[in-house]
Amino acid sequence: MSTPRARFDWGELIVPGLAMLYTAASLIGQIIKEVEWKTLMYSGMIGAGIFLTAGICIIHALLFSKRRVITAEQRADSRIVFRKISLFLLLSACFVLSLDWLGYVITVPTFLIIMFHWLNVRPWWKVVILSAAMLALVHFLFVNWAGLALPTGILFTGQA
Amino acid sequence: MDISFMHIIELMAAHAHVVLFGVAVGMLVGATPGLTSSNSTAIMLPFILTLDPTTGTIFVVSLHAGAQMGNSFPAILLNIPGTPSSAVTTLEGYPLAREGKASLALGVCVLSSALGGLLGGCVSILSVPVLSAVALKFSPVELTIIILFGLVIIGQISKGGIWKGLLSGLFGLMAATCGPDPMWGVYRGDFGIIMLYDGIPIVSCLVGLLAFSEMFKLLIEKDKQAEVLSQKISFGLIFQGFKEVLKRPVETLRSALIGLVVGAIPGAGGSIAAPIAYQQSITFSSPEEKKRFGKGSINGLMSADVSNNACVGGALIPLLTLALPGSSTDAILLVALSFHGLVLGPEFLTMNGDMAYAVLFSQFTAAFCIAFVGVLLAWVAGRIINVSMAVLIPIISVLAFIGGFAETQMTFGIWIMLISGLLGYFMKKYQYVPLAFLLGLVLGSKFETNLFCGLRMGHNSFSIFFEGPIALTLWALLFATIAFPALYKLYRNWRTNN
Repeated sequence: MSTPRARFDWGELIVPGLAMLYTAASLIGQIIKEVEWKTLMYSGMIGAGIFLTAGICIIHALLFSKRRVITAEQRADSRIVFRKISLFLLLSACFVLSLDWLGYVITVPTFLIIMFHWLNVRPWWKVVILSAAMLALVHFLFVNWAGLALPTGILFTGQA
Repeated sequence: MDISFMHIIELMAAHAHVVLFGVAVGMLVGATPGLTSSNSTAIMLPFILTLDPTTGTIFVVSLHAGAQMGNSFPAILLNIPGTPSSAVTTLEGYPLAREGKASLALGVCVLSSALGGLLGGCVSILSVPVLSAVALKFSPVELTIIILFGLVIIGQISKGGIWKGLLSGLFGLMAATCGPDPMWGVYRGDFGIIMLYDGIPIVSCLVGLLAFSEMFKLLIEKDKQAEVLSQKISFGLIFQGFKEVLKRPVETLRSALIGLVVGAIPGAGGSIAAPIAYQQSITFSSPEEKKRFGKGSINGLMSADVSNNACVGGALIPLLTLALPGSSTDAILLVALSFHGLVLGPEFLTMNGDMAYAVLFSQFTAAFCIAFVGVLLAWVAGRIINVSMAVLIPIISVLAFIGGFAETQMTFGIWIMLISGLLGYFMKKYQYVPLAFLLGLVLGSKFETNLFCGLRMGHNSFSIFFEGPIALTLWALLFATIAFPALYKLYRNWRTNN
């Protein structure tokens, strides 16, 4: 059986990679739009700083960051973490996509009930009471009092 | 504008209930593991934006002060620091709780926090007018360097090292270029998305970075819930804790000074002030007291809480005078006030003096409320801190969605909030600095405007940024800040080798 190797954590490259990607996209967009040269110069200066610091961070991560020996148990744990985060993001995305169409009166308690069930909150009546209480809080504090125009959806206005 | 003392007193009296409410909410927030003053203020931002600027500011400052105290409850009873600033409280508070003296520890924390807030308030009231007068002499050149200084300082403090901190700040500045150019009104960085024509929605970004990003972390850690040390809270022991604090005035003053100075440094805050004050407390304690450190030392416990709350007053100094937030909560305040069209900075005191002084004086009211509410809350602390993560996560998520929606009144804001939340999670995980990113995003437009105004003053020459005594002093401080840690490390290595 081969001994587990120490591995580099590729997540170290996410933030500098994202910064460089965003900067490149922004600069290219400004060049295409033919913006004022001083505006481009300013963005270029900040961009140069980003590429320099991101490059240093990436090189530092590749050369000096601690390599971890990942056991099978840790690999299984990280898969569970990845699944949890992905599912949470998926639920959140579904909430946002359905908010305009179904309205907050339906999406808020639905989201809460699904999340509470997934996180093993029991018994069922506690879930129902908490969801109803949150909906009431959202309605009275944010919609009525603060005047936030949360979408009411097709069921309450007849149009999304 | 003449500042009317009577008007300030009227404002304070009119907002006393806001202070009490803010402190109570802050303590509840601080006592709940998973919630901090910054992420809960971010969630409450849609609500805060509906309040008038004075009320909103007083509420946020009171909440911040209350949360700094409330953090001590889980630290003492659960050995879980609610925030990094209360990590030191666990070292001394939890051993006391294990000895059956949780009430004594809570009493020490309550009065220490109140005194820290009081002293922080005194110094901030005395120093803000002086610093404002100096800051009024700043031209766009000095303001540009000050903003750069603020970003570098925050980057310097980052655990991941200065390069990660600088990258975070620069990334924020780049993100701030999205939207209309402040000098020529040219639209840029919108990628053809019409909703980005006015720039990245800052409130949505803020809620995502500070509040929603925490949800990923809580989701992973939700099963880790410590057992509460079940103890009956005794009011007699709480008041004995008060007496212990009053017997140590020198400790109080020293820790308050440390908290004030550190709090005034952008991005520093209680997580740095508390360990420094604790370490100084060890240094200056008597040999008998030194033996108690790590086993329930009152000096050690006091030092953390006094410095934590003094930070609140200290952080208001650069915020009101230079528009440089000392902490994430102050960054939220900056955003909230700019939403109302109020511009913090050198002219704030002259243009809105009554409001500024009402906020500064409300720290006194907050200190009294901390002492009063803290005693009451200590009694129910055991119940509050036992709130399950599984209940908190969905509730905070929904509040974060609403926070993301609030600014744009479109679901696009929630998408920005989700993306920022994911970015914030990875930034925290790999030791980047979300606060530096936020600062770059919030101050980016101001930085660009001052930079180009300075260039115009210097006839398009950058040499103007290196002329004049104030500019040169600021550059010297900036380079000293960057060079000092490296030089100190070299000096220590040389001492060790020799």
